[in-house]
Amino acid sequence: MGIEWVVIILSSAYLGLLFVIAGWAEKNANKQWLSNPYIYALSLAVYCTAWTFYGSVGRAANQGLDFLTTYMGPILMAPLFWLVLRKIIRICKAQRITSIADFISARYGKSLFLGAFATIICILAIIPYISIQLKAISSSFRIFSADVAGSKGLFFNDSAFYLMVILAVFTIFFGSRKIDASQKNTGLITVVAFESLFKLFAFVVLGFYVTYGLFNGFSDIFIKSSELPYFERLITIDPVDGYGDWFWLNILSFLAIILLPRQFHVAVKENNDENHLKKAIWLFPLYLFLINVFVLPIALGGNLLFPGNSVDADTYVLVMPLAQGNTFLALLVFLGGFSAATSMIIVSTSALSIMISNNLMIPGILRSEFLSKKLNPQLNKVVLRGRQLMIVVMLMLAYLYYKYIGQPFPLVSIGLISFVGVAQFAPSAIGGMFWKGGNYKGAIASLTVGFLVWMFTLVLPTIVNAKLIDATILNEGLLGLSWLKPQAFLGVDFSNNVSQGFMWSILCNGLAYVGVSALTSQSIKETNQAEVFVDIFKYSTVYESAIVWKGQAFITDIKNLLSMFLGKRRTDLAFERFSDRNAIEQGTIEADFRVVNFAEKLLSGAVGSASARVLMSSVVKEEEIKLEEVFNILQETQRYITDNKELKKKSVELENAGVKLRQANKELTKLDELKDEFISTVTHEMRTPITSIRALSEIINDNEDLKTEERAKFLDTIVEETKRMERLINQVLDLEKMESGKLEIPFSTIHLNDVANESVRKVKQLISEKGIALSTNLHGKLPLVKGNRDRLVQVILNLMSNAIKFCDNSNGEITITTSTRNGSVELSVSDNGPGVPKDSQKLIFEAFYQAKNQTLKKPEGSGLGLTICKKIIDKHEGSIWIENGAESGAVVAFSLPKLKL
Amino acid sequence: MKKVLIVDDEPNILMSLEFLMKKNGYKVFIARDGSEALGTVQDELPDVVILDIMMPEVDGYEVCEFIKKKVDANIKVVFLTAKGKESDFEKGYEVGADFYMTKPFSTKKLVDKVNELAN
Amino acid sequence: MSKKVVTYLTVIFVAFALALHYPFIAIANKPILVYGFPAFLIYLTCVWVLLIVVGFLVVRKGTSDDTHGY
Repeated sequence: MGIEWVVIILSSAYLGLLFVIAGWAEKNANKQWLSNPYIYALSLAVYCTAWTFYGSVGRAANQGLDFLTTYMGPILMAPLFWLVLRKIIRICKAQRITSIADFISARYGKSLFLGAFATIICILAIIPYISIQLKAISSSFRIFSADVAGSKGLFFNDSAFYLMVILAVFTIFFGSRKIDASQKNTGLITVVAFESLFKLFAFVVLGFYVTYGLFNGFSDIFIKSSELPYFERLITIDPVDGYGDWFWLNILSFLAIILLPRQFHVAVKENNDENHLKKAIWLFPLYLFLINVFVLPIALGGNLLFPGNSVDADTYVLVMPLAQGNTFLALLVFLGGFSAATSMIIVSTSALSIMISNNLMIPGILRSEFLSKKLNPQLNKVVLRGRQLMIVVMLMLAYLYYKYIGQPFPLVSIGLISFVGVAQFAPSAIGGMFWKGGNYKGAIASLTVGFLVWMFTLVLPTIVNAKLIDATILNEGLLGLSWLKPQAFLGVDFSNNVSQGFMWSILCNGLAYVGVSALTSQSIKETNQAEVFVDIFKYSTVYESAIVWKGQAFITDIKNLLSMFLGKRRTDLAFERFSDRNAIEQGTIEADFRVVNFAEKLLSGAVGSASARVLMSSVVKEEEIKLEEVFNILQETQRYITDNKELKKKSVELENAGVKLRQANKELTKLDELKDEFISTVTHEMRTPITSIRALSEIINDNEDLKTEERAKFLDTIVEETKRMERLINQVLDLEKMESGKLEIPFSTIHLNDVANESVRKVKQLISEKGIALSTNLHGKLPLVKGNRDRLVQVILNLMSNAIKFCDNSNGEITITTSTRNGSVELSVSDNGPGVPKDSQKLIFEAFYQAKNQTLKKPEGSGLGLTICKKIIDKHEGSIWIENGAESGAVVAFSLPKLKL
Repeated sequence: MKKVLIVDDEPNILMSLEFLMKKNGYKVFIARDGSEALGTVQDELPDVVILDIMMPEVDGYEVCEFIKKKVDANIKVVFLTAKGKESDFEKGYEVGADFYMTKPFSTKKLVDKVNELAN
Repeated sequence: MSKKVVTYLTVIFVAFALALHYPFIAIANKPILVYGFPAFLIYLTCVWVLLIVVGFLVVRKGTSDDTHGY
């Protein structure tokens, strides 16, 4: 069997494995551990394509370190993930945006035109990029098969064709199963994460093999290759125009890591949890570091082993192990490159398919009366099938490009030209997220100018190179004007065409965006979106109800519209849930702004925000609104919702406390034999919290204009006081049970030191949090006692909590001591607080203390706790007392009779 | 601006009373126990004193007596206390209180009463 | 993560963006080997690793603030 068959079988097996992983992940999609920050960070590494795998080494071998510019931008963006990416994620979640084209369209008033324009730029930029992945796979395949004819043959002889078919099937299966594109595709993401891990593994293994197997470590390679011609050029960047190229290419990749459709897809659309970004901030640069560590050594090693350009440097990673007869490693590397290419293709095509269906296909159908009538009954199927069809079409186009146009270019140049294409979104997308002034006309100008300059300076030369048009335009400039030469635009000639093209396109683009936005004005719909985008963190929680809308609509119309796309069952379910959540009564006929807004959002997930807007306006009669109204409504609802949320949270707490109170109250009333005095003590103790609760509730009730912080503070206090009452009631009940003898206290033989230790364990956390020094001084030969362990722990805990309350604020010290005296066992808790006045030392244990017409208050906080302690100790036939310490502080101690043998 | 002194040892009650009085346009002073109250009364000569009875060290009766006899009999005193027995009421008026109110109290009633006494 | 941590992250970005560009890179951009490694490569590697470590530490601080703070 020839090696090419092994390769074919292996790659099929690998693809099979992807199917298995994806299927398994879909099945377990609801499991928590499948949505974790590591999978998220790894999925971002879809950034590293076959271009990284083969192209980086090739570029490093020929041009040296400037291959790193592709990674410098992303690692610089990583610290900004929390600032930039999180904002994008939040916006997209709030508005159910699923692609970069949707994002731009939504920001500028949900414009159909902008969405379509951005989609077309993406298609033009990404199709060649996909095609180089196909090219990378098929040329790596040819290294094994020695099939020189390769792509020149008929398609059924071409491995790339079959690969394309399988990937189409895979992407359809796992990238576009759900009509609502804002739902997560766990299978797809798990596969991408797996592939990221796999390609890293393969590349690092090869790196070790080359560095330590073929050579003696890094420095060996560097020292040996210092003999090579051009070595100095490879380990530095050219001080003349190298710095400029370095700078512009870094900015380029800095933008690409966010704006590339596939990056947007994994980083934003498939993000489950903003907190995953935190790990990605360092994990993603780490990944890029690991995958780049061996690039230069491999490249230089290749140059040493195959001097004089005898082997294409793009294929070093395969040829090196093969030349040494290490077929196994070569196969591993092949699969690594294969995984890099496939993950890119899968994610890019599913991202593109959603973009096309949302921004080109559906608006097209809606616009054509004939089509929309004809397709009306099963629009949801049309959307889904359309998306799947688009996947096939995209892959077909990529394949055709690869086969008929893209052959003469190295991997890197096409990749970078793609980057420049999507970088044109930067001013309108990123600018629009931080600058409210950016408007629709500015965005149109920005994309148009950027697109034209990109086409002219970068795309046109590739077309000329492919011999599709005559080269005169390159040499003489457009219309023979020498300052309009594509590669020396305005007479500036960089050594690197890409950085030059990027510089001109992004400068003109940015200028157009800012200039036109500043000179023209926004429509109201746009202002609303600009407000929401820029201040998303103010609105995201309230978005559902914060949108501005005035008009008339009927729920049945809206429902009918939705069920065309989502199916009747899902629509009904969604409406039911929404009505529940927003307290909308069953049988409501007219839709209010919340319903309209909710429906539009649901639709956006399926057909994109621009199409959703158009669809909604077909069932809703809208009125134009004034600008001030917009702001008023936004501010009103925002305040209303935050306040309400706060209140809701508190009232749940209050309710819980209330339930407990009622229960306790019931038991209280049952105790009919309670003494008068007891009642009056208890009612008295309760008056204080009730007073606060009543006063504060009345204040909240009477003062609607309370500041939010004030309101929150009052509510907190109410909850706190309610808890205080709850404690009090529990204590009273406890006490009563003990008094009336209802409480059984079973005794056993216990060691007081154990009880002390257990109590210490329970408060240790609290004590160390408060910075109090706790020491124990336990008697070594303490006699046993009879007692109830739990109740004694309760006593010690109570004594300790008083000690904690009263001990010195800054240098608190608490000591627990056990000792024996005259046939009894003693335990004391001492603190270094102010101590207790002599005349209160006895009274402090009295429950009826305050009822005896005393007007002086006993020390705060002792509550009924000490009274309960006294009861418990009484049951043990022991005694409890309080005294002041030798120097300062209070000592509370109890003694229990020694166990008689 | 009329001045009100609030004397109570419960921080949460103090908080609500302070809010109420400020809201109704009074200049508010606060004392957390009886002895502090004695000092503030002399320094600030408030128009109305809202006074708790049960406090550590010096109780409310003593404070009231001191105000009426030693400082200024025109200073109005409102007892605001948890002690709700007939005998407590009597004792309160005995030491010269202008009004006696039990906790928990109605904020509206209290504000009305203070307004009435202050003017 | 608190505002402060976000500010740290932004400062990190600025600092490293400077460190990775002219004129700072010109210091190391020399065609020489130091202990058998290209000087420029050593420089870039150090900056890169530092970026990872600093990112890790700041995020960890931000995360622990979140769990213990308010």
